[in-house]
Amino acid sequence: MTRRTRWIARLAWRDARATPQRLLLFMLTIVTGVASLVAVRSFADNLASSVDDEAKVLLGADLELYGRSPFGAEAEALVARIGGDQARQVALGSMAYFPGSGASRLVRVRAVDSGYPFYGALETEPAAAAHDFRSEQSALVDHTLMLQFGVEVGDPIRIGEATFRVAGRLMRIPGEVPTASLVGPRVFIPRRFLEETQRIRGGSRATYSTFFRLDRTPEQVADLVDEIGPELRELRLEVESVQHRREAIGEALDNLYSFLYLAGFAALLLGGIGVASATHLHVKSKVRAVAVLRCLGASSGGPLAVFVLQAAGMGLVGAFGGTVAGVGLQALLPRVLAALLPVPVQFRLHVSALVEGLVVGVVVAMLFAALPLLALRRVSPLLALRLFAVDGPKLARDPAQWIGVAAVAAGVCTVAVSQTASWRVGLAISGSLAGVLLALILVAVLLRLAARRALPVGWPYAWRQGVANMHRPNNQTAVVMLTLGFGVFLIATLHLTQVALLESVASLEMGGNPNLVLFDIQPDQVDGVRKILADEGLEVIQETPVVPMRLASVKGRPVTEIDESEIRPWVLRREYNSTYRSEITATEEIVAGEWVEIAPPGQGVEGDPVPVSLEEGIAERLKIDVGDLLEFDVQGVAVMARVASLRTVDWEQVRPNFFVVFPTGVLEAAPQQIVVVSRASGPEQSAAVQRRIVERYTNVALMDLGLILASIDAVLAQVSLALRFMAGLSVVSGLVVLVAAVLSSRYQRLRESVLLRTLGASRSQILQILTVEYVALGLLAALTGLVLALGATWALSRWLFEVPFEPGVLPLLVLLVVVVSLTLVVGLLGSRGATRRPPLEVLRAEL
Amino acid sequence: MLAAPILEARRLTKTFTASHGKLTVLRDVDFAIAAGSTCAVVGPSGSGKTTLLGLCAGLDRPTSGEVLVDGQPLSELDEDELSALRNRKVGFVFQNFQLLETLTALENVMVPLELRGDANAASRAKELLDQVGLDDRLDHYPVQLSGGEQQRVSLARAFMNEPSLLFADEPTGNLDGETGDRVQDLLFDLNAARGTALIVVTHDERLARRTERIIRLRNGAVVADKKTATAGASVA
Repeated sequence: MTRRTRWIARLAWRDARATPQRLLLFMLTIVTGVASLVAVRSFADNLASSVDDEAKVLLGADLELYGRSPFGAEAEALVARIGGDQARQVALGSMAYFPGSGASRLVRVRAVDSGYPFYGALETEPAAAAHDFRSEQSALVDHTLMLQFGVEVGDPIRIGEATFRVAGRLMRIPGEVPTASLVGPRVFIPRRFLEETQRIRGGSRATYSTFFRLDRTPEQVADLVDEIGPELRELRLEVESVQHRREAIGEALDNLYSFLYLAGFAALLLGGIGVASATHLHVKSKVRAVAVLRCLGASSGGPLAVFVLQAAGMGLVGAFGGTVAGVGLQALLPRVLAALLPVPVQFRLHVSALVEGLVVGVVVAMLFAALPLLALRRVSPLLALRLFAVDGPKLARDPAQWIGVAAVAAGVCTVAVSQTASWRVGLAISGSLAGVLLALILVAVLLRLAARRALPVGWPYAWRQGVANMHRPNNQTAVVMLTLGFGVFLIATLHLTQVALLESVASLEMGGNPNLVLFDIQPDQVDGVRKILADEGLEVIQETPVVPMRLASVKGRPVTEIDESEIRPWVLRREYNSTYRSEITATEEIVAGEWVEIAPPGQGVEGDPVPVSLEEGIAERLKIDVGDLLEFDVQGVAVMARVASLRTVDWEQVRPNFFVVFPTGVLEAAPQQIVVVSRASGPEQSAAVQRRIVERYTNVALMDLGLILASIDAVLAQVSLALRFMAGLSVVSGLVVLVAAVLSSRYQRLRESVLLRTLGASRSQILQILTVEYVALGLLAALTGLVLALGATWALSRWLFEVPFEPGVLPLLVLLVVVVSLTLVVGLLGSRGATRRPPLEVLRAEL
Repeated sequence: MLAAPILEARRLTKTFTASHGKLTVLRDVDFAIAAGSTCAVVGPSGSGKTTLLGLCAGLDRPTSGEVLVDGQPLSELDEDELSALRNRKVGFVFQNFQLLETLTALENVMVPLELRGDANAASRAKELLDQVGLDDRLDHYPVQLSGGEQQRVSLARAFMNEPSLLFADEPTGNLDGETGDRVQDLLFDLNAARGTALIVVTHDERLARRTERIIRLRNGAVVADKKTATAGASVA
């Protein structure tokens, strides 16, 4: 260490030791940001480790083969050839009926063999139920469903024609996100009792799976999947391996990580702005000292080095504090996000995340401290003699400042890219945040200007002084507005978007739109269903036959020969639930070709191709146009079709919509089910219809839009809880910066208050001034955030979600009041003493 | 034989650019200060005293003219070389003391030698603080010291690097009469004991008369440059 370095280190320490409180502010502002980042990073690492550790548990097996029909002889031969331990499952949608309460709901029934899951276990209450339900005619019922209908363990539940005893509550299924149960509650039954439900009938939509436990490594399983791939395509079987499931979960989690990083990074950036602000104040108070040092012979870089070293030290201490806080925060994250995670996350300390937190914290602190610190280079030693130096270089003309700005931008991008491990995501996050911050600055400046210009001269003195205080020298109005405004912006945008989405779904139920869909109705049950609806006073709005079919060839090429890169597999292999009718519906519009009402004689089975209408999107995916030929396999019967027209479909309407519509005169004799659409005037009417339908026709499923709305609401609530938690961190960062700003200008405020009291101001007048100042600050910050949130939500609603946007005023008012109150409380607490300390005490301190 | 000048000002002019035009605050100022001598620069407010001090100490650059310290033209030095020169040859005493608030009295005095990396800074600083009568205030921060005590710390710091040239800007301007007298005594005692040339910028005629020479400024120009009775006494 050179003598100069030693001097710099000594002076940095001596200076820091004398004004610890100012540097404490510096540290505080970075703590929340680093804590968020460390928490997110550690959480992501832990989640990834948990997914890896429980890879096999995610699927419950090494391999799963599944298809839409029972395995035929060839498929069984393949299953036998693969070998290993095997367990079968049949999954289907069905109404669950609780005789005790008379309640019913569409559920996802999973009829499983005793072996499944091979890895991991179903989490149930009582725990023994996960095993016991297999030995008798019992069922495991989704915990949320039991709560909804007040069902207890031991109560009966009817699935189709069979009644089961509820053996336990199903709390968690390995590898499945708990929130999924809100949309489609699951009921597990032993597969051997499936037959008794009589739910598997011609045309019933079920998924047939075989799970394998193989004595092979994941790589060997992957090889096996490659090897049997062509055969699976031939047999129309899908495959799921541990590797697939892990990748799928990885993709889903990437979105979650991106959001979490965004929130954590935003908090860090706000901390950075706080650091810049605290450093700016620190530097201002040091200008004269630097001038004296220059007089005493210090080079221009010497004092700069002293304060850079201080910034690094404080950054390190702040980052350390943030890292420790981040570890605590990380323990909270799995709880907040539990409903969205496929596996329980174990709490582990990741040294890499801690080191990263420290490094990133110091780097961000240094970067943001650099800009104000650079100003120290320009301090003239003349300032030791005079109050003001003249003829100094202009800030904007100093190349070092521009280099500093570029370094901050590059540093922020680097941190973002390194955190997200993706150039694209990192730059997108940096760009978006920069855009939002710039917009916030712009709105903040405009609002401040407006507040200043619109200040009525006739206002009481306390009001005018309070507002004027926001413009006092060394004020931190802009910084506080920026940080608090950012938090408000995040929270308000999340809330408004959630409301807009919910309202758009809810609007479907309004104005006489259908809200009940009954499907899986057999042709011989249609009259009975109509009668029940009529008895309950419901009108049949639409009655549509559904004929399940599969694609056999596209433009003359068998689907098994079409490469996956050419047309997506799901488009080729999916089951096409098609209909036939002569008229086009109100939710459809022909965009190409001609609609054919009735198939001309001689077309259809073993005749000329049938003129069909295809939905525009699916035609695009199949890469076909009007006039092209398709071959369908209608439950074993080949039907040639020619694309006669392309249609657009409004999928948002609660009506049966179809990719493929046949003209009448072809499919009437094919096995089919009927879908009936109706509208209930309220939940009671809907429940009455459901009860009667389920009692009479156990195979008929009924979808109640009201229940779906409630489910979507519940899912969004779970998601938004997580989002708000992270957005809350931004608010905390904003408040920390507010505290820092209040404390740093505390002395100035004390001095002003003392001066005012010396001039005869009462304590209540001073309190009024402070109140006006903080209320105005909170109000402007909240308004800044709200204005931008309204703009952002409008843009999201219009271009991303394509839903109408009519924001409610009340929640925004509540947010406004909360933010203003918080600002006022923090401000008044930070200024306490301004009205109590005797004037002489402060004046003496100044001398 | 006269001693060689430690400070020379040659046709010094300083012009500031203000919003309403150019303002010349010093015009063609010439003088030389001999090593070890004492001189006062006096004049009304706005006469250019502080500007002259700033230029002579290398704190600012003249618009035209030249300053030489110990024969070295300051115009040939960059900012850091000027700082180094000040550290070797120049000391300062300010009206507002200008102690570093965050350092103790001892640490404040140590700064000039610490800047050089001198290992004996502490012992020398204690010695000087002892000379100015503050040996019991070593660990006090400026805020814990009275005005007179702060100026004495400032004096100790000014002599810490054994400067050839010491600039004092209204050194007693913020002190009461008695304390001011004590500080003046110390200033001249240290000047005499160490052979440091002393340039005092002041309004205080009594203080000015204690120097050997008084340069009077008015509207940026030297209107008088006379030896005082002290100079005669000193020569005698």
